[in-house]
Amino acid sequence: MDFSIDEGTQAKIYYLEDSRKSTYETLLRPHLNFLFRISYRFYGNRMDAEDLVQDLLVKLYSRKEDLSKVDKMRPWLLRILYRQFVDNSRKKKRSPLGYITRRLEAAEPTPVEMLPDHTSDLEERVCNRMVFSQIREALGLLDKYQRAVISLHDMEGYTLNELEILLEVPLGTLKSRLHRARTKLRCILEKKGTFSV
Amino acid sequence: MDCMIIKEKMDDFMDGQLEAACAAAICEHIQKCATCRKRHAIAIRLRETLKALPVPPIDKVFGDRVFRYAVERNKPYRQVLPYLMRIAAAVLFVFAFGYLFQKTPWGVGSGMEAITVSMELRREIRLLFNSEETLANVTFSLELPKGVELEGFGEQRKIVWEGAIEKGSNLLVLPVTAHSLEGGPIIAVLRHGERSKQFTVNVKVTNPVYNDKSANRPHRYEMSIIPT
Ligand SMILES: [Zn+2]
Repeated sequence: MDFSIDEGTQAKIYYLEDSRKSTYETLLRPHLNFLFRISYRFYGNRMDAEDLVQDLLVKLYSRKEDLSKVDKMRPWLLRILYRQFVDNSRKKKRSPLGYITRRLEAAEPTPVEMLPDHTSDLEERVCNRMVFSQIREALGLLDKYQRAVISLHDMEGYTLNELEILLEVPLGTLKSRLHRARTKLRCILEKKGTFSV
Repeated sequence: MDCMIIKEKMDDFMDGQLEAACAAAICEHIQKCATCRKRHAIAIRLRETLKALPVPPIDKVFGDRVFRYAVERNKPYRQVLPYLMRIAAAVLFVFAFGYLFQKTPWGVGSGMEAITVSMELRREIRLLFNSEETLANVTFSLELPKGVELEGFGEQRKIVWEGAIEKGSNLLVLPVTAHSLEGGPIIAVLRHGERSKQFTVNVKVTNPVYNDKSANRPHRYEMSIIPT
């Protein structure tokens, strides 16, 4: 009998850490999808989103004693994820052009399958894909603060009042970031003729 | 009203933040002015599209990978070997153990198998076993000889946990590092109800040999089952 486990073996994989059920992982694992989702909103590509989640989890491991003291995990995580995002972007200083190029290189297909059923018409799907792709590019031209507020407010549906508390950023600041972000997006899309019929 | 002012106030208008008179004036203007009408339509489409922008599902193995990475990254540095050396040393040892918990009588195996690892080099021992059925509540227990550490478990010698086994192939990954030359047996026992199986792997530890290619060759054993 020959066993090859490198490729193609459909094996359930157990890592010993599973059994350890450390408080750290037990507390954070239920929020992993959420963290990835928000990170993906921030960056618009999988690679950077995963990097951000990874950086956050590495950081949180060193503070794992604090985790069990956190009252409401999700809002708390959102706040530190936001800070990590702002912080990471500061370190990387990636140009908007770099952002777009990397995204295209990553060649992540736009998940059109995830669109609601009423967009099953092929033409409409292709059209949507183009619009999504142009919007993602336009989002890449916003600064990190604008991108964060657009992600959380316009995509995830948080209100500005909620974000004021969650992110600990003054309401006026959030308002002006959102305003500038939307205006800039509209300008870009107007020039591109993205929504022109 | 001026087109530029409307451009400026578009968001507040759409958010219903403007005074009634002002909103009415914008409304009236939009009906007459094609440019602003288009601008308004774009703003609406933009909001709808941002809401609909899809997020792909998380990569299934990302979760396991990222938690292990976080634990690994936070470990105090004990290995003096350079990082690349450690990667090269992550050789796969594959053990294939026929069908697990087979209903037929268990045969007595040829005894212990042995593996040789270099001191302070992380090795992954991978145990591959098959099961005819899905089994919940399987107790896994692992005993390690002195000086051999399982990643993430420090100096813990005995590790017991509960888990499930799926029908078909199951792979148990054991990243180990030997910190002394002593070595000894790693004993893995899987228990389900009254049934149990024990696997023994004798670990021999040698001084680190960095360029020994033979040490990096994957091993694959067929092991018979030793009932306890
Ligand atoms: Zn006008």
